[in-house]
Amino acid sequence: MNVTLRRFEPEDAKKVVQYLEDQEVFRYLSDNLPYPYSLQRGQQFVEAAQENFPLDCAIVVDGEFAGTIGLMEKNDVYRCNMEIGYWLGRKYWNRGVITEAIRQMCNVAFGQEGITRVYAVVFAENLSSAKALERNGFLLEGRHRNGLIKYGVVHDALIYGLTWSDWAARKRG
Amino acid sequence: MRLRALSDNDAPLVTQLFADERITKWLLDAIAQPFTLEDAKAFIFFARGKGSTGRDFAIEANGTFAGILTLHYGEDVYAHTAQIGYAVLPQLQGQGIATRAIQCAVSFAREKRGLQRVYANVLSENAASRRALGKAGFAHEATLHCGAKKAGRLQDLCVYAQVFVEESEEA
Repeated sequence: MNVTLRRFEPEDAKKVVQYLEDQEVFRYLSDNLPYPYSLQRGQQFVEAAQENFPLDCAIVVDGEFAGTIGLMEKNDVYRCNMEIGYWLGRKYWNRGVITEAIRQMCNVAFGQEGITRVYAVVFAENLSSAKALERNGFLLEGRHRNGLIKYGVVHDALIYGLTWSDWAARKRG
Repeated sequence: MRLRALSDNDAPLVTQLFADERITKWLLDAIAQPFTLEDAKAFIFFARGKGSTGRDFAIEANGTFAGILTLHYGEDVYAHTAQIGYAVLPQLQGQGIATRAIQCAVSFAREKRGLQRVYANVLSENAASRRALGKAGFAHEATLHCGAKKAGRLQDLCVYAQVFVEESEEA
């Protein structure tokens, strides 16, 4: 299985909408995304993501669009951080795809000027997301009680962080 | 001790507060130095115009201005939360003013806004602020390694929070 990241292409929009028709994919994403997700919205998303390469990337598995991964810039005293976020179409789950995508995206993040920490906010129930971060050396830094709300239900959030020095030490092996 | 809206008359003491390096070394860089009386007037003006994004209060102790407390409301998956920030004039610190101000703000967030989580991000070296949060009933939930860059230096950031669980949801 070959996992690569690339700039979004207009044709990805159809696949984005198709994968986001799945409530299970939606479950741990932003609470602002409308359901069902329209093609027009998918096209707007893809256009913006294209502009934002390499901070927004399409995940490609064996030549096929599989999902998305992105880095969010932070400001003020948080400017040394980037927040990582991602989703995968359900048929690509449980195959190590997101672990590999996170690995490649950390190279992108730490290649940006002044970035010394990458972190993720994970729904506490989302065990596969937490595992993928741990496999990349992210440390569980804490649990935010009532940290997230989705569909009116409050969940705890896990905060995972990877510092530049830990990342560099891992790369050296 | 009470929280009230900021007024134009607070501008000189707001200037004193936000021009003091002992205070600003713990704050966001958005409070840019040097901080003048004009900056204080602008801060108060914008504080009054804040809509749904949050609230800035004057902390009043024994009838006089003692500091500022800010609530910043979250959005999206954070819409049920508020982040709290505060600063007390150096000459009034050590009297428990911040602790009581934090407790007032928590009641406001919970009762007036119906929020379920209030949290603060504090530089790990800010012992006084961490003590105030502890006394106000906040729990230390996380330490974010190198989570902030302040004064050209990477510093650890501590997350403190107080949460409210709706009784009906527990059942």
